[in-house]
Formats: sequence, structure tokens, C-alpha cells
Amino acid sequence: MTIERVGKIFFDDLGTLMASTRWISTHDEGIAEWLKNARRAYQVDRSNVQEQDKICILLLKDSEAHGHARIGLLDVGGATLEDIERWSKWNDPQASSRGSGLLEEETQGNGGKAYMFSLFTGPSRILGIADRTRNCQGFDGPAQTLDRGTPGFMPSVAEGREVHDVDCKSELQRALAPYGLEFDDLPGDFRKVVERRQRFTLVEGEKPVDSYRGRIDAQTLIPKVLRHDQTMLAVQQTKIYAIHNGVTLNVGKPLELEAIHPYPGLEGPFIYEIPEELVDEDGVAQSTTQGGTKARGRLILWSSEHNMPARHKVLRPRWKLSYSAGPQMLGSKSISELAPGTPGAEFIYGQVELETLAAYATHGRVRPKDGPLVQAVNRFTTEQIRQLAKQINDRRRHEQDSDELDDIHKENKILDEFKNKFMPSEGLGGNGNRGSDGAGPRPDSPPPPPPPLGTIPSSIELQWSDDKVLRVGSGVSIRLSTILQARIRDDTGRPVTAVNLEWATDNEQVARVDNGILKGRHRGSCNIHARVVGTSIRSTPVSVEVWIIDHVLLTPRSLDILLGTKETITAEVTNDQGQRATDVLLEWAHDADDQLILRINPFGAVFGNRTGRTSITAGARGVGDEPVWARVRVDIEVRPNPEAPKRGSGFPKLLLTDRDLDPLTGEVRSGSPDQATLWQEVLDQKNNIWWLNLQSEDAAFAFEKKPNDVKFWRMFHAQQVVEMVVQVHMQQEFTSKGDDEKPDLWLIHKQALERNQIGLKQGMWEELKQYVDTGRLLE
Amino acid sequence: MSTHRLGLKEKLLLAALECSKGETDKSFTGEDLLVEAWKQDPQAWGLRGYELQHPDLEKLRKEIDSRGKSTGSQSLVNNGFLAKQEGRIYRLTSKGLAAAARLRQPGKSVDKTVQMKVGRELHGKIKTTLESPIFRSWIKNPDQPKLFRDAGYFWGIGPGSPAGTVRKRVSEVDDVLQAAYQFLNDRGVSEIADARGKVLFDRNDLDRCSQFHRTLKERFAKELAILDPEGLGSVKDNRQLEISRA
Repeated sequence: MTIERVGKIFFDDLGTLMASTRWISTHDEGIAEWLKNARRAYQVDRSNVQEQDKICILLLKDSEAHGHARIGLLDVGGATLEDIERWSKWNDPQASSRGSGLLEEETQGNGGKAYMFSLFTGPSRILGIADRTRNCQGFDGPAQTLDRGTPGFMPSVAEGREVHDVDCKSELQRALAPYGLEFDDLPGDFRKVVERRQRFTLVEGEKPVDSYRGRIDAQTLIPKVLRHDQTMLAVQQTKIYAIHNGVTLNVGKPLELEAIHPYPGLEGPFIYEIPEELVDEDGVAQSTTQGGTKARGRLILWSSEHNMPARHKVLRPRWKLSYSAGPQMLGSKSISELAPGTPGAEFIYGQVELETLAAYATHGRVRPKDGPLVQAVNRFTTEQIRQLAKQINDRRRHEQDSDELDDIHKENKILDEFKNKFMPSEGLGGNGNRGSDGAGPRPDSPPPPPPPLGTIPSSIELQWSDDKVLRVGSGVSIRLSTILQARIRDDTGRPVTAVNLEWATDNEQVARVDNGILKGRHRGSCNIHARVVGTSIRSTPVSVEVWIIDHVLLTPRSLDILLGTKETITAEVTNDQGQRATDVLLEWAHDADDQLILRINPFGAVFGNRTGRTSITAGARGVGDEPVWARVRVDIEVRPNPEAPKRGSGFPKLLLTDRDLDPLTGEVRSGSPDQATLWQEVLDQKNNIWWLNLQSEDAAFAFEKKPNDVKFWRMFHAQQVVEMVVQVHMQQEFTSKGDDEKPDLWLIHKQALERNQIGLKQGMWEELKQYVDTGRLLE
Repeated sequence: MSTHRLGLKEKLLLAALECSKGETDKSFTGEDLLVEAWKQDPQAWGLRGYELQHPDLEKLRKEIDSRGKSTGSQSLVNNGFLAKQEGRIYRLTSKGLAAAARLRQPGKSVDKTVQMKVGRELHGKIKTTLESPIFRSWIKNPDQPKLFRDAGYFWGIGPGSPAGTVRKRVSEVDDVLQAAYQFLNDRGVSEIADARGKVLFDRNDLDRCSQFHRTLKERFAKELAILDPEGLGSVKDNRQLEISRA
């Protein structure tokens, strides 16, 4: 194919100008570009400023009767005619480097200009004094026009181009006048450098857009500038002062990013060398060094003492992973994007340094563009974040004294009974079952007869048939009360409550029982029984077999579970002697960061608790005590359920985390610092349970106070009971409107409430603790 | 890649691999297959005397289905390597895909993408067996299934199914297992993982599926013999599997 071109490539001038400038939309982005340019101008291939002289001043002035608001950046580089002329060319990627070949941070050829063009309505200019020569170019004209985008010498060629024999100090004095400043008002170290070098550059613009009545919100703007990815190197390598309306900010000191205190005990930084090869999302290996031609990169993670997303103003903007390729900053991604739902990840931020990522730079450098290498690096990073997050999360758990727990467990039972009097639907003396006639008041129904209870134990019944063998994998622990469900009766068959049971085994080598928990130890059989403490009343023995596992086969291999519903996985176990069975109790585990996606009981019943994906495995100890897990896992996806979960019958129960058993799993429900204090998952709603989450910040604090100030704890506990009753009433009101019922309204409301509770509580309670202790609020 | 050392059926399998791009659900016509085979080896598939100008459809017919008198029972379709969909439209079966993948570079680790596809394909078939309710009831209680109806449900056959269908459905399960064992043996591994390292199936899965299938065939041999009096017979199939497992 041949082609004969008859002209140059054509662009629409205004269209191209707009396309090149619209990526700058805020002043912090624009000032970041100015700072980046100033830092670049100080390098050896440009104005070659000594390390100690690298200094600049951000000038901010609100509008007043005599002048408009203006923003400027003053540095000691001293732009020459060559600099000014390079500046005047749009989209010149070599504007900063001039082809010097120095490996340096690249500017985009239009960042600073785009800011001056787009975000000021008055004139904007670059003024350079070097070698007693003045040069000045700039933009002026109506916003968003070609006129404004066409640079020109200011105020004229005669007075703005190569004007010789000017005095640096007088020029600077003149340039500072609109800011209400004189040369002597500038910081001392800046003055000294200018006097020695006899050079300066000022970039500035008049009438910044988006300023309310010409006022510049310096308190908000400056932290944003400092946190900007593109400012990172400038902040590290340059002293930056800021003067607003004649006052030097930060009590006259250079600006600096707020220090982030590390998480106690995990101070870091945690530095990981990036492997030469990483696998991307399609499983394809990606070289991180371009086949060994580039240097290996590293990942640096830092921890924060505080939950970063919960501190909106200060820490949230820095809760991210920044990417750099050599001196180029490529932008950043939020940690929530890399490790969503990972408990503990809220305390981590970091940086990737990898030269080969340079190819992934985008216009504006807000974030690296997506591609196989970025995917592969992200996968690696996510893994490291998860591991560090787990360490942080483990440290966040509050250790709780078991005697105190027993104490509040008793109190909780009393309060739980008490609160039933105030529960909706059936009124005083009701049994908590939901009415079927809507939400309106109903006449009190007569209280149900109390169940006849016995007082003197006579026998123990197990919900386990006599001829059935209890098979347990070696190393697996099971709670016998959950599996065998012992009931104590008197001699007339009435149930007897509040009786202590103890369990015993006839062969501790095979299985040991401790506090009602049986643990399989070595291959063999034994019998266990329950006994009423202090009596000779015993249950019938249950035969137990402990299996040494050879392998486990799980089926099905993939499951879709609707939220709030249950599916069962069959685990066929083959033991070291070749016997097989599907009723061997095993350990179950899944690999999602959010462990609350699922609840799994020892029999393999899987309950969908939150939407998400994970994969499950099961196992026990094998030959030589080595753990044996099913090699082929079951992929699970919990999907939204179009049917809203219905709450169970009876009065809702308030249970304690870290003490009460979860009826789904038969295990103690662990509390979590990242859940609401009054915690109810979808499956809890089905079971009509609320949890008082003792790991939440406020509950943990109140619990800590209890030994010395029991009233404090009681006050807290009582408040939570009241809160629960209120929520149950609201839930009832939102979800019992017959044909008008809109249960999703309640769910949306509850989710929003919890989101705010979780987000705000951690930050607030860190300070409220001191208030409660001392009566004083922190500054 | 030279295909000169291979027999005609093997060459045809390789051509089928190209036509299907390694996907068992992608169909192709007999003509597609012939032209592909002829491109790969004109001497083998060309019309006599015009080998470089024209392919010979008759040669294809001999190898591909039972119309070839001498090779009918050994044809690629009868042996379960290709499945005939309608008219002259075919697709590669799992067994055919696995066999073709082995032929790409005999004795060496073959093309990675094709290997992945084979692993994925076999995984899908084995998963179907493992997730079948009949299999699940059998591992819970080896006396299940007691009724031929349940076994028929697993195979996808019923009392009125034609003999050919019965034979095909039963042998398909064995074919997949045989191919999967072969796949493991060739690679000298005991499990197959995807590109991200997630295990798709292992030798224990295959052993269990084989035992299950053998049980079904033995338990319902009488019913199978009634439906397919001239069937290849479970005994021979089982022997083949035993050899593959070794």
C-alpha cells in the first residue's frame, strides 16, 4: 500500500488545548505540578542548586479592596529565556529535561501551564530573574479560549524578554508587593540564598477559580498539596514555606507531612523485595525486571497507630499504595482497592518502587494504568498487606479476664430476661413470637405456662443414638455439648437446668476431654460419658473413634449459597488403614480475608453470612502428626438473597461474644474490633440473636474498667440493652407493614447506621476514653 | 512440527486439535478437518497423483467414522476421540483432546496452553462425576444406588435408550478417567493445578471415580447387557483403566 501525504498533521487548536488541560481540576493538583517543576529545575542539568539551597515559598493572598486573590510559587532557580521559551510550548515532554539524559522525575510538559490556564481567571505568568536579566511570559484573556492558551511576553516583548541590568532584589520586591510582602518578610534562609544566587523564579496566577469570595482556604489546601503523590519528592528534597496574607504558616517553619505514628509493636517499615517473576491474574508469569535488564523493585509497607480510613481529614487521604518507577511517581491506589474487607488493612499504607512500571504511567499520573505487570505487582502487594494486617488484627484483640467474663455473662442473662418485658409484638408477658396481624397493637395474650422444671437430677439423655460411633480426626477438637446435646432430667422426666456436667474418657491416649472439649489424639477407640458433677449420675457411654487421616475428598467442588441459607459439603475421609467414612468430624477452614462470609459447623454445613467468594478445605492430623487438608478445595460464592431473611421466633436474645456459643457452629463466637457493638449478622437475625461485641472499642474499654468501677460497666451494659430493644422495635416497625412492607428500608438503614458506628466509634473512643477517665476532652 | 512419523489417525487428531483450538465445545466440519490435515501433510491426505493440489475426502472418511469398511470399529468416532454431532459436523471429545495434546510433542512436555486446556477439560468432566448426587450418595453409603434408575440417571440413559447411546455414555466416563490417568502419568504428577496453582483434581479423585464407576457397571451389568447386547463389555474397559492407573 502506498500513501502520498500533502500536508502536516492537523489538530483543532482549542480542542487540543482543552484536552491537554482538563486533567487539572483542583488547586492542590496544580500546585503539586508547580512544586514538581521547581524541584526538577533545581537539578544539576538545570539551575544546579546546592542541596542546602533547595527552598521555595508558596504564596497565598486573599482578595481585598486593592487587589485580587492570587497564588504563587517562588523559588531560587532563576528562569532564563531558554526556560521561558520552553515553558511556552504546550505538550513538550522534554521541557524539564532538555534532553540532558539525566534519570529524573519527568514532568508532563503542560502540568504547571495547564493549571495556570485552567484554574485562574486573571493573568498568570512565569517571571524569571537570572544573571541580572528579566524574562516574563504568561497567559491572559477570557477563560477557556485560545487567546488565553496562547502565551505571550508580559507586559510586552520590550519589557518581558531579555531585559538586562535589572536588580534581583528590587524585582523580587516588586513581585512581592501584590502579596502585601516585602523582601524582609521572607524566611531568612530564603533571603540568604537569593542574595547569594541573585536569581529567582515566580509562577503565579490571579483570581483563582473556586475560591469563595476570593478567600483561599489555606488550612485545607496545604495538607492536600503535601499529601499529593506528585509532591512526594519535592517535599522530601525541598524546604517549602507557605505564606498566607503575609503570615508564614507552620509557625515560620518549613511545611512537612504530618508524621504517622506506627502501630505499637509493629513499627516497621516492612520492606519486601519484589521477586523477579510474579504471576498476573491470568496465571501468566510477568518479569519485574524486564528479563534482568532493570533493577529489582521493592515494596515498603508502613503501619499506622490509628485506623486510617476512620480519620477522614488527616489519615484517610494517605491510606493508599503509591507507585514509583525510579524518580517517576505514577500515582496511587487505595488500600481498600487492593485488600478489600481485610481486617487490619485499615492500619497499613505503602509504596511500590519498581522501575519496570514506568511503562504504566498515565496522563496526570493519578494512578498507574492497568496491565499484566501492575496486576501481578498488586497480587504480590495484596498478599503482603494481608499478612501484615493479620498481625495487626491479632494484636488488636483485647485479652479478657475469664472470671470477669463469667461475671458479666451472669448479668447478661438477667438483663436479657429483663428486656423481654419491653419487646414489641406480644407485649408484656408475651413469648416474643411475631404476630401475623401487622404491627398494630394487640391485646396482651396470656403468658404461656412455664415449662415444668425438675430440681433433682436423675438421668442424662444424649441426643446421640447408642449404636452410632463418634468419629473424630486426630488433632480435631469438638465441643461435646454441641455434638451430643446432653439433657438432664429428674425421675419424672422433667428437665433440670443449671446443672454442671463433666465429661470423661476411658482412654486419654486416644481422646482427651478438657472443659467439655474433646480432642482426638491417637488412632484408636474409646468411650466417653457425661456425669453430673458431685453425683454418680452418668450418661450411657458413647463410642469414639479417632482417625489418622490419609486424605480427604470434598464434594461438591463448587457451591453457590444464597445469603442466609445453608448448603452441605460432604467430606469423605480415608484413614491411614484405607477405611473410608463421611461422618468423621474435621477442622474446617476457608481462605477469605473476611472470615464472616461463612459459618461452617463440624458436620460440613455451610451457612452464607455475607456476600463474597472464598474456598473451603477440611482436614485433621495424618501420619506423623502432619496436618492433612483436602487438596482440592470447594469454591463458594455467597450471593445476595432476593428474599429478605426472616427473623426466628421468640424473643431476641442478647449474647456475649468471646463467651457464648454460636448456635450455627457450636463454637464460641469471637468478637471483632471491626464490627458494631451490638452486632447482628444475617444468620444471627434468622436465629434471632444479637451479640454484645466485647472486642469493639467502647465495650472493650468498659470491660477494662469493670474491676475497679463496676457501675461504669453496668451503665454501659444497660445502655446496650436499651439500644438493642430500640433497634428491635425499629426493625419490627419497618418490616411488619403487611402489603406495604419494605424490609429493605430497614436493612439499608441498619447498614448505614452500622457503617457510621464502626467508622466513627474507633476514632471517637480513642479520645473519649480519656474524657471518661479524667473528665477532660483532648485538644 | 513434523507429523511424518505418526499414523493417519494421529495426524487427524492433530488436525482436529487445530480446528477446535483445543476446545471440546467447538465444532468443525469434515471438510475443515480434511483441509487442515492436508495442509499439515499433503502427501498423506492428498488425492493420489494430485497430492499437492487436492485433498482426498475418501481418505478422511475411512479414518473418521464407521463408513470405512476396514477400519470402521477402530475409527476416531467409534473410539471416542471425536464426537459426531450431525451430518459431517464433529467435535473433539475430552479423550480426543487429551490424546491430541500428547501427540503434539511425543515424550516431552507439550504446549503449555493446550495442556492447560486439557487439564481444565478433564477437570470439568471429573467434577461432573464427583458432584453427581448418585456419587455423593454412594460415598455416604456404598450400598447405594440400589436401583438401575439411579445409575441410569448418572449415565444419562434409560430403559428405552438405543444400544449405541448406552455404549457411548458408559464408555465416555471411562474414556475421561483413562485420559486423566494418562495425563497425570505423562507429567509424572499426582495432581493437576491451574495456572494460579489451584488444584483442580488429583489421583485420589480419579481412584474414587473409577471405583464408583466400576461398582455401577458391575452392579448393573445385567441391565446394561439387556440394553446393549453387543456392548464392548465392562470387563475389557476395566482392564484398560487398570493399565492406565499403573
